[in-house]
Amino acid sequence: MASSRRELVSLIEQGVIPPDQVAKAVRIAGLNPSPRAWAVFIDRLLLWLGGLMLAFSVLFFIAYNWAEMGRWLRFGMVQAALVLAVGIALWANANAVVYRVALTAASLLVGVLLTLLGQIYQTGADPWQLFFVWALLALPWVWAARFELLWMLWLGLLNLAIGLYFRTWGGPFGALANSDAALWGVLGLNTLALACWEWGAYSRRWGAGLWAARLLAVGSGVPITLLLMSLIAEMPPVWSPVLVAYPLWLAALYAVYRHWRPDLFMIAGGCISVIAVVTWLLARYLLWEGDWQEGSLMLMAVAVLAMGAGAVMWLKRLHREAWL
Amino acid sequence: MIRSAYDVKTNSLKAKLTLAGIALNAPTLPESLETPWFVRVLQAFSGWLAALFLLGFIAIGGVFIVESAAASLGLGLALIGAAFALLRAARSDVLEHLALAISLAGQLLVGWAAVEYGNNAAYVWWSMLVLQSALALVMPSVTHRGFSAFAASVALYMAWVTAAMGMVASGIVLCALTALWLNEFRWPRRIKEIHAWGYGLALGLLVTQGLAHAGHPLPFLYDVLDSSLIRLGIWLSVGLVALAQLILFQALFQKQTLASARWAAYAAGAVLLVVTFYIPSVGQGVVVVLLGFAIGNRVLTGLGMLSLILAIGSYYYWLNATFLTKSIALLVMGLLLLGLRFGLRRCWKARITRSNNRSVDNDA
Repeated sequence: MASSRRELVSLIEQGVIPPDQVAKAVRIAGLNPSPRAWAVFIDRLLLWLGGLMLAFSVLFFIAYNWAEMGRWLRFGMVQAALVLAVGIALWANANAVVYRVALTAASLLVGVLLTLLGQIYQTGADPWQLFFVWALLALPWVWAARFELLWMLWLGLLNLAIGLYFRTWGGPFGALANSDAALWGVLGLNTLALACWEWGAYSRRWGAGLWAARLLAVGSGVPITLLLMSLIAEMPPVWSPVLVAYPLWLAALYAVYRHWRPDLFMIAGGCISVIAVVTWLLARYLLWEGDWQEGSLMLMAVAVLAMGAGAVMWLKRLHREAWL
Repeated sequence: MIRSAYDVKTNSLKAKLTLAGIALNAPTLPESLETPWFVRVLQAFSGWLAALFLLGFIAIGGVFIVESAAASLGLGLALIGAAFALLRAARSDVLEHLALAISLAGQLLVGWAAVEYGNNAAYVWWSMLVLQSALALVMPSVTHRGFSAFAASVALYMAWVTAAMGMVASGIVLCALTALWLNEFRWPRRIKEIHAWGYGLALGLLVTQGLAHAGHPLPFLYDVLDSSLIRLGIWLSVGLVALAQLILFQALFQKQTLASARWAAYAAGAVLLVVTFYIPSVGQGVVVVLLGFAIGNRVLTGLGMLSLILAIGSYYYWLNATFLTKSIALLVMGLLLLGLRFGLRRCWKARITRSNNRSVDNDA
């Protein structure tokens, strides 16, 4: 449907379809869903919304922290909801949508159960432990569901756990630079996940969606860009592994997404990262160390314009080549 | 080369149209590939960054300009005029980029002049709304029109926030967005502009929802406002969601006249309005999801889903009810939705079995 829409819009823009025939052309292109397509869509929407509302109602109930209600009753309630969700998944194995909704709800309920545990016993655990144990316990269901949205939520939990861990305890690159350590942790996790995702899509034909790989690439690109920018901001400049990692990351991004698995989104993301880093570098030397002269600001504006325009022209050329 | 490859890809649609008796014209415009949305984002990002530096240059190089509201306004309008002329005269990427940065710097200067002239925040935001709406209508660049539509929706929201009725702005944007997308093919020569406005407004709707979620953007104003205005704002916003629903249903039922489906849709819409009264933004999320599906636009459907998720997230932090009340409300609604699904499946199963023996579960 998406490609029909693109084609139709393109034909209208070129004036190929006479204006008085456009309404008919829209009907023929099949953009408007049939009654049956509506039925399927409403069915899925009601199932997802209903299932998630039930799971969230348990979460909200635990957040209420009803003191008069005994702890065993509260545990029993969450566990019953969990068993019910898994039971529905087993019972509805043949229906892929019900199966996924039930396993997504079960994965959420694991977190609710752990929150309840922390609420009642005041375990004193760090927040990263909650997210890490949650991710660990939910893994079998995430694996079984074979559902990319759930995989992304699961990776979000791990991102939180790793980020919070390094923020609390520092990392191998210096106990003082805790926020940098968190960025390194997140970078490592998302880059590894992206590599696995692409490998699976290529060699195992997992049929992974484009959006998930793009999200992982953003999760990898943002921390490495921030790491380099924080290094540039340091006075005086120091050596850091990111000076090696960043060019390697860019080269890998280009090689993979320009030649092996072409995706212009990834290349555009790399361009934004380079523009941000170079602008930051220029700002450091021309503005902070150059007393904010008006000439420097003009130079910065011209540099950013040139980089932006150059990137857009290059990306459009790549887009045309990909089309050919 | 591009043309031949393009022809192969559009061949099936062209053939379908020809078979249906539509006499296709020779292209009046040269074929051009649609620029992907993320390339436009890159363009807007670097344009904004360059505009900030340009503004810094003006502020430091000509201090008298920013010290005088009239000079700021004059220079701002001159820059916007220059950008307009540049965009009309040139069609290259470099010049479009330059024009975008110049225009943005001009808009910031006009905004600064409005701050200097205005006695209150409302004046500033209403002025920005007028400016951005005018730019969305006249600027000869799709990226600029989309950006201005987005900025206009944010300015509208902030203007209503100054009267403690930010939700009303979201309702107005929702109605505009619904009417615009349902009529996207009505003016074929303007389709690029309509899409730019449509996406700009959709993004604006999400951003204003995020602003509302983050808390009152101008908290100091709420100390002097009457709470009756807030209540009026809630009623008005629910009314606007109802209007958006009505526009959508009217368009849908022009084609499908099955009475039972129509009544079911209106009944579900009424229930949705009750929910929207207590859980703000749920209504707008559902309308955008349905709108996206109705016109076969996946991006819009995805944005609607995001809006719905954000609405449920905001509900967690809503202070007007205890967690127990919210939990019971979610439980009841969840059971109702699943019950409704169960009932509809029984109804559809009978209908589908009668017609072609295909199950609702067969479509992925």
